[in-house]
Amino acid sequence: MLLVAHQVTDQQVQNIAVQGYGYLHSSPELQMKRLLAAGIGDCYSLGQVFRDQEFGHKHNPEFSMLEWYRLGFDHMQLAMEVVDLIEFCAQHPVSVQHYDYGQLFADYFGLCPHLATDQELQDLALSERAPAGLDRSGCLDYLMSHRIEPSLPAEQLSLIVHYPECQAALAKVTELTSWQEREQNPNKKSIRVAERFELYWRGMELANGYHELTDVQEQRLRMQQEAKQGITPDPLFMAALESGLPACAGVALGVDRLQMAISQVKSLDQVVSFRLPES
Amino acid sequence: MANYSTSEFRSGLKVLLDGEPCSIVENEFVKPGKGQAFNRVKLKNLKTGRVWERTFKSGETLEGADVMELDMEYSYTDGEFWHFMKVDGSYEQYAADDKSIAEAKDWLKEQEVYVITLFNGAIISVTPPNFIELEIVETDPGVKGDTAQGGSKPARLTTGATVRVPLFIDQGEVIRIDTRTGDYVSRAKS
Repeated sequence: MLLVAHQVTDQQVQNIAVQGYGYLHSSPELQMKRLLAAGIGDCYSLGQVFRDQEFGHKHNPEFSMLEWYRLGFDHMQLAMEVVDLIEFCAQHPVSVQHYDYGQLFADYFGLCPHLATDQELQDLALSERAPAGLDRSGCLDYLMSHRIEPSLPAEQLSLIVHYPECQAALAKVTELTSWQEREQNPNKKSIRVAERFELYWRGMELANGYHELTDVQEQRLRMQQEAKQGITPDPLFMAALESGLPACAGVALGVDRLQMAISQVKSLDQVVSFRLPES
Repeated sequence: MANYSTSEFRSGLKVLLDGEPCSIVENEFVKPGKGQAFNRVKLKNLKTGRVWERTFKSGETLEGADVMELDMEYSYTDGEFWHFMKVDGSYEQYAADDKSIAEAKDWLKEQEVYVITLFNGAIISVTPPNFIELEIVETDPGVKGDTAQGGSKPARLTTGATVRVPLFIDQGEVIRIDTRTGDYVSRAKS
């Protein structure tokens, strides 16, 4: 399946429209979740996905993605499985360094990305030479992609977990503050983080995974909140959620990029045979 | 001038940034899978030659800059301006000021052709040819028998610039210089 009837609601992902039919899919996520809701169990998809306006050494409007879901796994268990797969593909062990998203920001900028106000984040981003007019999530993306990410040691797999709530997408959100801590200090601000992970290797984002949100009402709320102006969430997906998504974790891995990382090359041109405008 | 969006930033495109004419050197697309798209762009300020790095949100635009590069012949200086003439038969003249001539000042020679960068019709920079032949007006006497190897000595050129030359070179000789490095290349073939 490459053609889908509905656009994704993600603010930052643009589908490529196919006149008269619908859209080329930007990820098999929604269809796979419909299968999960229907009881398919563990499942994977390997194939081409399409995203408009993404072009560079590490981006192509068409790229290959491996996406899979594991029933009963949480994001950490799934992250370890991704590491196993990467080691299997690379045919050698790779050391893994765990990072907490909030701790990275604390170490790098002396600021808590979960508790900082929008204004504090915007001031920090501007002082780090970000373009003006970024929202909260945009500031976090800038600081992560332009400052933190380039400083991660290239030779290790960097596993970053616990993303800010505003970047939860369809991941479960959890409280980092334990009940013991709250008992000791009732005024302690609770930190809510997404059970989401990202895996970086050799300067590239390779995989993005979630402990999937299964609460139907919360899902509906987020889809509506996040939806781009004038785009309604895919009704077939919403109907599937109503029937209940089983507890699971899911991840998407960029296969072309994994090949780039293993071969230690700088551009997609070196791993993809045909690419626009030459394809 | 037209506006250009980040996706149209190709190397060599001339744009205005903070009112300064710039040439795009490099444009890298940066985007977290689920996040905001950026373009990390290197631009060369055509007035100062300095390279700036700027990050834009993808889709932002910059105004194009009215910049032209033309071949012109150096005529003369009146002490304040340096005068150049188009070589397309029009004999049209342009004057470069102190700032815009700076990079080429050491390598000026009458009737030599230079690449002139015009911004809104005025010279902002002068690029000398990669190699130029200039006469030595002052250096220690040449040491006979000393060929390629051995030491070097300073030599002053007609332009006032000083370059290092091999010991065997004499005053009055014309030498070939790489203007990008300021290095002596060889004796001029006459």
